[in-house]
Amino acid sequence: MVFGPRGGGYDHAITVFSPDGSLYQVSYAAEAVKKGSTALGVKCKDGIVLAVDKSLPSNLVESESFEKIFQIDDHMATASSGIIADARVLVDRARVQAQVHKLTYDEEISVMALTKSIGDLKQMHTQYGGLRPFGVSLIVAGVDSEGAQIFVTEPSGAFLEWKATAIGSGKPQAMDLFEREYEPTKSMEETILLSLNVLRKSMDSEMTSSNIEVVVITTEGGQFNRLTPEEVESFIKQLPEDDEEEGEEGEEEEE
Amino acid sequence: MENKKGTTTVALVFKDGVVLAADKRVSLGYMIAHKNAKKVLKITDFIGVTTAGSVGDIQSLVGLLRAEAKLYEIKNSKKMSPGALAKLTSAVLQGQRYYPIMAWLVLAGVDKEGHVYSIDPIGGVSEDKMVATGAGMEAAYGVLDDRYKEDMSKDDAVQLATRSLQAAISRNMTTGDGISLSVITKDGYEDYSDEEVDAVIASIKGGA
Repeated sequence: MVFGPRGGGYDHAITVFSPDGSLYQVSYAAEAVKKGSTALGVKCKDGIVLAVDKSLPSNLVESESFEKIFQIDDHMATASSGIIADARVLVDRARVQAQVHKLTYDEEISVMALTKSIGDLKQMHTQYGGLRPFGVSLIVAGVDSEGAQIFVTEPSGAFLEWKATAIGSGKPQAMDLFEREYEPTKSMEETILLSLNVLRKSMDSEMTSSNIEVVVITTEGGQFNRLTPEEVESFIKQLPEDDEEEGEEGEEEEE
Repeated sequence: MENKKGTTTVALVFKDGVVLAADKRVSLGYMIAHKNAKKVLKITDFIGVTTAGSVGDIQSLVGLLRAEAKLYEIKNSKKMSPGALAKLTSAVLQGQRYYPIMAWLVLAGVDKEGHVYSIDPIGGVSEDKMVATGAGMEAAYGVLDDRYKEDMSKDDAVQLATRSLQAAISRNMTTGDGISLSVITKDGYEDYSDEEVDAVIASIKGGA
């Protein structure tokens, strides 16, 4: 086996278990998410904040053509990390599902029901031949009769509900910070600042209004609202000094 | 063909919920085919329907609605509202536009308040505070229009439903053989027993 293939050959067909019970292709899809850009979803007193790092491949890209937070319906949005092309297929399905529910029942689909339908499609892509798993995690966030809700769906189709969560390469640091600093009673403005502060720590380049994207959905009214670059800029200006820089300054003072 | 040319049903909104009522006669031309039909049917703990039309079509439609409502409640982790079920029923009927299900339903139920919807055989939905359907509807509406008030008590609402059916029974020959009554409030669904219906009828005679 020393020279054998990785995964003992059990990673060739997606629908075949390895002897230890793993589905390697599903695990590999989860790896694509771990390498993806960071996306955050945070619940607060008056709604939900979604924020993503959308570092552009080149300064020649038109920043506003590059979206990582997608509107699903008036009251719902999703932020993605992993293979964005895969996300777009799921988003298209979710949008249709939201309208089908409205046409069938004359009411808006609940956040959980929509998350389940995304999870069902993802799961199907782990059990049928000829398909490959979706290499993307989605933060599904929205406001319904139960209030503000945030779910994360994984490539396997599994999902969990969160108060505050992160996906992508910055997840470990972000979750660590949220676990220490998250408070459900904070206002929308305070929560946007917390989210940007957390997001900044996982970014390689300096945070600007063109390399992040912020969407809020308020509980009151429940309307999707993408912040303009100007609004984002004003929040970035309010952020406290970066901790790392403060540390360096401290060292200088000691000298 | 149960009630295509027979039956009278009524449903109305009162302060705490809705009342549904219907007669029990099934007619086939000039013959009475059945004298104890159940035309007020429970769909969920908070939604019921009164039915008129073809028996087979009604039974399969009501079976479908019960299944859909149960699935909805499990999938969406919440109770189905009367409005949502009315829209679904409308979609089912409209989907069979060219091979219609011969059923005229009145769907009544409670979410935050009481709602009554009349749903025609090809899916037209109209919400109202009170509705009558079937062959004796003109007589029933005469009583309802005269006596209906918003925010009635449960006792008044049950009496009014009974009065309007009595008018239909006395003037329509395909309506008769007794009355079924059901009440839905935030506390749930309640079918009146024959004795309770008799008591309501007696209270009308005494009080009128």
